[in-house]
Amino acid sequence: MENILINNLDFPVITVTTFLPLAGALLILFIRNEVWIKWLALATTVATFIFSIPIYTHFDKATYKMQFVEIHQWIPAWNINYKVGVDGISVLFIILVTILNILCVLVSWKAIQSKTKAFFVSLLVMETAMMGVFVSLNIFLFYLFWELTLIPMFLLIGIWGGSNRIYATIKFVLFTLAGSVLMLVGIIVLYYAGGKTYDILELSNGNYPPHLQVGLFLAFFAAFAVKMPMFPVHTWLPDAHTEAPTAGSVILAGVLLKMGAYGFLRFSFPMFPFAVKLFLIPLLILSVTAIIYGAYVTLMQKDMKRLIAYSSVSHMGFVTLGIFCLNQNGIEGGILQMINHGIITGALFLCVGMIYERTHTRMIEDYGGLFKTVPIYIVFFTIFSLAAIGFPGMNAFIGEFLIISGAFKANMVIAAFSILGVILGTSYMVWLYYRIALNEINPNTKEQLTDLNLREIATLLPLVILVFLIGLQPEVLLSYMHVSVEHLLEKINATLPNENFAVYDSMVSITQYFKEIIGWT
Amino acid sequence: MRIIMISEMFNIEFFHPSAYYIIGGLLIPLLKGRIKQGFMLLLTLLAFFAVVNMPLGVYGVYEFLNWELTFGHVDKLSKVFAYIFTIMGVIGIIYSIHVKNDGEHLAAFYYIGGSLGVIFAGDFLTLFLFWEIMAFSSVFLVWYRKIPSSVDSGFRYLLWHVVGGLILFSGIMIQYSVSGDLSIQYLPFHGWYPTDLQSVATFLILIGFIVNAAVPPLGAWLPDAYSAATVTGAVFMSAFTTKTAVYALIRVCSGSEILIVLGVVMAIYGVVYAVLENDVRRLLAYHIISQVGYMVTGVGLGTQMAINGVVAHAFCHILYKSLLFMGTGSVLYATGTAKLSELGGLYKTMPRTMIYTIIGGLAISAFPLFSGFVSKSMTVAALGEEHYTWAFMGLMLASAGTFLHTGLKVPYFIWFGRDRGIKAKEPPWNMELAMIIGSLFCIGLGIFYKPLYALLPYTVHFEPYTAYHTWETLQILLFTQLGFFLLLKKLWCENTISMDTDWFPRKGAKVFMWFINKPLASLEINIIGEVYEFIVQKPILRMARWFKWVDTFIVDRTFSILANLTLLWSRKLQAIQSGQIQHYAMIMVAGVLTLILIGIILP
Amino acid sequence: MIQWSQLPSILRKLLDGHKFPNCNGCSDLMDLSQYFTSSDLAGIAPEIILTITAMAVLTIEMARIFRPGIMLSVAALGLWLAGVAIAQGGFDDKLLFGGMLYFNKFSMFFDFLYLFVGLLTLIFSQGYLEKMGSKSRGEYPALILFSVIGMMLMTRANDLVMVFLGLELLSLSLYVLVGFLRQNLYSNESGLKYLLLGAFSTGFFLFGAALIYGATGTTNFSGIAQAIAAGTILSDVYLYLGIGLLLTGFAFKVALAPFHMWSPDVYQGAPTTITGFLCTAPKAAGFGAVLKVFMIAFPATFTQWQDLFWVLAALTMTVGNISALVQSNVKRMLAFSSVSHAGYIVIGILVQDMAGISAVLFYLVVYSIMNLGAFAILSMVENDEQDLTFRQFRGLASRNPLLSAAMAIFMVSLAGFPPSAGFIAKYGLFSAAIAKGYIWLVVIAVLNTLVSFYYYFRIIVNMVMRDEKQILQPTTGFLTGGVLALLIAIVFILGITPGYLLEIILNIATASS
Repeated sequence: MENILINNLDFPVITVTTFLPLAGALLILFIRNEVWIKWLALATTVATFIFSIPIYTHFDKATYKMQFVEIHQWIPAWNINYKVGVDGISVLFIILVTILNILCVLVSWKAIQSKTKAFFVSLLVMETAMMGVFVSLNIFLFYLFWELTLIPMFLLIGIWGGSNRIYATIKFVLFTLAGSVLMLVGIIVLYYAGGKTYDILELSNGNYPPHLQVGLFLAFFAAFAVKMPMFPVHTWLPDAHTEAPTAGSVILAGVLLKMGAYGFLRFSFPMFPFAVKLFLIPLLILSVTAIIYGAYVTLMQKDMKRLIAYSSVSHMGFVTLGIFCLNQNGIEGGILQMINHGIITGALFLCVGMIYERTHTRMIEDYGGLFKTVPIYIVFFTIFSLAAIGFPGMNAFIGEFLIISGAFKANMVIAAFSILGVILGTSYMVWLYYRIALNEINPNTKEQLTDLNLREIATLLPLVILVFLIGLQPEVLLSYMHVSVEHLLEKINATLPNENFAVYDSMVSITQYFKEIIGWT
Repeated sequence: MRIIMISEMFNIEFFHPSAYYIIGGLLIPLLKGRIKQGFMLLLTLLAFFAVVNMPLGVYGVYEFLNWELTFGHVDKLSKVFAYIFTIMGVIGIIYSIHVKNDGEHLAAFYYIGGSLGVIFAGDFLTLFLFWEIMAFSSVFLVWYRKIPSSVDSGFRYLLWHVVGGLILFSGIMIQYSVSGDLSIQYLPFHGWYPTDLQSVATFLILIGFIVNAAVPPLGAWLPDAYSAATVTGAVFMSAFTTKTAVYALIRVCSGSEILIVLGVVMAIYGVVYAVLENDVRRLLAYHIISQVGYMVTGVGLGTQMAINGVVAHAFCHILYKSLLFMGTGSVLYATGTAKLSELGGLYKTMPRTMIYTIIGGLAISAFPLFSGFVSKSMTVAALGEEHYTWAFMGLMLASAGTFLHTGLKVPYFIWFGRDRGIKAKEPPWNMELAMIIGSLFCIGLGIFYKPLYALLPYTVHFEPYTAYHTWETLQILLFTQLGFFLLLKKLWCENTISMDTDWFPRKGAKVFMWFINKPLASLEINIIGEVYEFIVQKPILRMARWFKWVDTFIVDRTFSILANLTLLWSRKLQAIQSGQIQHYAMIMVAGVLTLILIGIILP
Repeated sequence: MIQWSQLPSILRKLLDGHKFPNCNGCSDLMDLSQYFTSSDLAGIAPEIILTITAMAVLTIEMARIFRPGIMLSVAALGLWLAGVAIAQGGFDDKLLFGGMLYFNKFSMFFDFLYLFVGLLTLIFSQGYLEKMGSKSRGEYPALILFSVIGMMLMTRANDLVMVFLGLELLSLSLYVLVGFLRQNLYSNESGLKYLLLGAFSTGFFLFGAALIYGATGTTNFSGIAQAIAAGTILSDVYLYLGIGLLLTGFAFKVALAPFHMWSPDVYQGAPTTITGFLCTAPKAAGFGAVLKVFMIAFPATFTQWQDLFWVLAALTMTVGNISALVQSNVKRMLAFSSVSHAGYIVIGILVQDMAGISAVLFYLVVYSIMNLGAFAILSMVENDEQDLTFRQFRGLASRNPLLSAAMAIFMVSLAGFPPSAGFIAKYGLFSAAIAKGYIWLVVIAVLNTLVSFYYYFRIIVNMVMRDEKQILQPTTGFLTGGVLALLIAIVFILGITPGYLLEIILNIATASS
């Protein structure tokens, strides 16, 4: 237990932050009046945000150790503890979750007409689940929260979604579940292999035999890759994002996708460094494939939400590229880029949602000349599209800059391809912008379009601030993760000399390990 | 007096001029009418004076992540560029002060601010940052023309620059991963060896720069965009983008031999294509390429004298080129067209504008006593000194061509030629004022060139007004003039001056014109419009369509097929569930037998 | 008022032939101790009580008192008394009736489970039969009580004959219950089907028992174990054949593929409350008996049967899940789902160690709760016109949010999502299996859960996501509603803090294995 730092704030801040939304949800269950429900939901999310602030003010940036840790007996029969805590890698996601949820409540204020209570309950349960994923230090607890995110999202998409919502939501859950059940098997095997403990930190110290590492890595990879989503298994994403209500899309893009990458950092890297090194080249290739492939497919989309959804395939490709660079810049960039993507894509979904509320169409060809019709709106949209492009001075630039500099250290060829991805990224974003903002005014939607009201501006403004804050002062966030990332890298490189496998060797040994795994029972 | 005030106002010696543009620019939309105009003017002047009383040295160093960003790297080179940029800022803003569209002003301000940022950048990251700001702000100067063609070419313009910028970026990245240092270094380019990363980095950085310097064929964006820009936008664009690139080339890659070749090619290329042009602003755009060719050559040469020449030339070129753009701009403003074939005989209605334009034309053709002369001749002379005879000849030829078109053809067809009876009047006062300032500079620098030379980065041992230079130049110009009137028939805008040209070898003329028209013309078409079409847009879209097809019909389909197969098995299984008891019993028996078999076989 | 705590002593007074004052020499007549002692009777006190209750119910019916409430309450009272009797009996192991019954914590756990299920079934079937157009009769509760007795005997048995006895008692009463709705053709058909196939499987069971007897010379579990250990066996072929046939008999009862064919038809046709009963308690009894037989009688030979169980498990869950996918009738879907759950449970039996057994017990509890709840809701929304399809559930949420929420929770739990009890139960099984290294079996199992998600959530989709005019007209009673709420509470409590139950079950498992 040397590598934890017991709560430096004599108050169970993490537990409170995590379960406050759930409490709010339970309270809402007993309220009938719709307006009260909305206000209560807003109050809950804001309170959660306020409670999450001490985590940042009291966070000790000088140590990689887990902080604000709380340990309680939970299921003694299986020696499962309730253990939560944050370190530099996970701490940033908490604020992301809390902020995005406030905005989700705000944006759903008018958009949700039917089953209001159920909606806000699912939203709040969702918040608890997501928070739990990032703070839990017990792998069982982690899996519990990980699965718990499915049900509310299933409802969010399925009940308040678009026309094709049921197909989308079933697809979403099936894909995610397919990954996570395999992870469940991995978790149980890990439990026995790691000396009968569910404690993530203890498991991270374990040193597992290679074939086991490969097997477990693949089991976990299944879950994380689907969540990310990485290249071949991304097809649930466009459907889910497109059909989901705005709040749902924001949460999906903002947080759910990050859980995959977070999983890589929290489990795969410290626990299976050998396997990670072994699969490094394929993983890098997959990432860059996702970048370029995603960007290309994005170019062809006619539906705004779908376009943004596909763009997040490309962006998450950057994230994976960054974290699989296995160097300081890359991983930090990856983490930062996750936050950025959460902010930017979330914001873009909010923007699309706002005009969708007015015109009830998401087709790009129905828009045009928004420059003249809705000036305030277009100001926000311009900022966010520039940010998405990775314009210098905005947050995504820092992320991509770090990632690409890391990539150039790791592998020139891959990095060169990722540059191509950036070019494509710019072209689809500018093209979208040009089609909806600059074209001549489109008569179909001209009269429905009214400019943003105060609530909507209040929804978007924090994100604008974040975009520029991170863009100009990234240290604000990066300072949290430096030490933890260094420690992570030490851990990876301690077990192995820091050299990547040549493609051919890795392929050979991978096949050989597969043989071993099949024979392993 | 004023200067002291400034330094007191911000009692710091260094105040970044682009701060005025970028931060001050934000306030523009909030102001109205006269106040706004005054405010904008004030900002530009403040920026100018900020440069004036700016001491040399390194300022504005910020710790960013684990790199240090230098925003204020001031030496003579950057300062002289800063001078001309801020001056140009003043002129340009005066010229465009009447414009109603705040967005356009904002774009202009950020554009200028970006270029100034590049000038003072002390490290590649800062440079790249402002580089991108320039690209993304200037594109609005094109888009705000608000005609479909301008939107398209704006889009193309942006893509060119993003690609260029990212090539530069990857160059920077490699440079960083090689040297671990982001500060701007002197990286002359002497050939590219894939094994040697340093050379790769240099190569990429060079490419990134020369995209902005509009070196053919990478310069295809320039005429395309500038001719599509707004009246005032073109004035700004003509001044900043290419000169910033030249500055960057001087700082990073001066002395790379390849630039000499490229420069000469540019110089001639620009002129030749100018011959074919009918749209004045397009023609002038080609002349930018040609003129920048001189500078690139000088950079490639890299001697002190050459660099001086380049800087001086950039200085003057900004002034007279903008003057020309302003002139043609006001013609466009007044008549609504910039096609030579549609213009003519405007000397009656717009005499003053005519004068300014002609001044600009003389300046660009390096007529003695005009600013072009004192700068261009220096570069050319530097070439001569280094015995690059072919380059020397090439540039001479180019300058002849330049005079042919901007000095003679343009004025001729706009102001004289047949009167098409266009009802036009002089442009608004502010445009005219700007043009006056510009013309004064053109003449003033031509005569009192010492202060300019004093500004140059290296001490100047060059005297433009020697008999040799002067005579040489005049010779060329006169010859060209002669040639112009002889060829007048063949320069396809019809003319009204009857002239005896029997003795001129028509054949030769024919051949000359054919050569210009056919192969080059066809090449020309490809390069501007369809290079983009064929090389950039079409493949990307085709690929994209293909990828989308893959995504829907292969990746997605695979999973749905998997799901459907499961359902199919499920239906098949229902066949067994017949509901007939005898079937069930039989299946049970079969099950028992198989169990027993397994029990016998497995242990 | 009698104190139930004195019940055993009263019985003892009755039986241990003490002299009646005004009678001499009649003691030896009254002395039954040569057949069995009072402690034996005390041991089977719950069965006795239940029998009496059943009789009482029938008598009430004879007395033409048709108020269903009365009969149900009497039956419920009987069940409660039986529970008390078990609790009073003490927790230590007993061999009763000369080793015919072996009473231990393990069987006790099952007893409570049966009583619980029986009670809930009675409560849920209140008013259901009337709704389905059948006059409420005394048989109904009486038969349920009889089947409970049968199941108790099955898990208490320490002798193949006793197992058979219990099995038959259970089956016979179930045959009637399944066909209870006389007017309903489906009900009759399924009753008959169940009877015929059940008889068929009973044949297998008896034959197997006979073979084992032939091989080992005894039907007593411990006797068989000793015989096998001592190697005094007539022939291994007989023994293995016998075990195989025995297994077949059990496999039929608990509906393991390929012996599950009857279950969908029967479950669909039977009265819904009975279906709920049918797929919970008897399954538990079957598994209990299997566990006991293989733990006590054939531990030595068990290793040779593991592959068999492996195949059965994989086959059962796959067949069950895959078949459930395309069902349009909800009851049928749940029938197949219960088949697949049987498959999961077999994993635990396959593991056969402490962890495995405890996992099985936990799973049985959770599974019974979930299924009872689900079928209770079905019985509420059902009406006798048309059968229950997914389509009919459309728009239920908008009219009966609470009911549909309850249904959704049970479905989520059946699908094994946290934080419901279903997840913990599955987790226990899988982890027990992986501890023994059956990784690929577990992989198959989790992929099956993936499949199962689809059909469980189809109900939720239809209830909450498709807004159409509601077809179903649920009849909700106060009592049933309360019990449902209780079940949901249990589902969540066991899902979030399973610790207590796990402790109990663990020490049961340690005691019995």
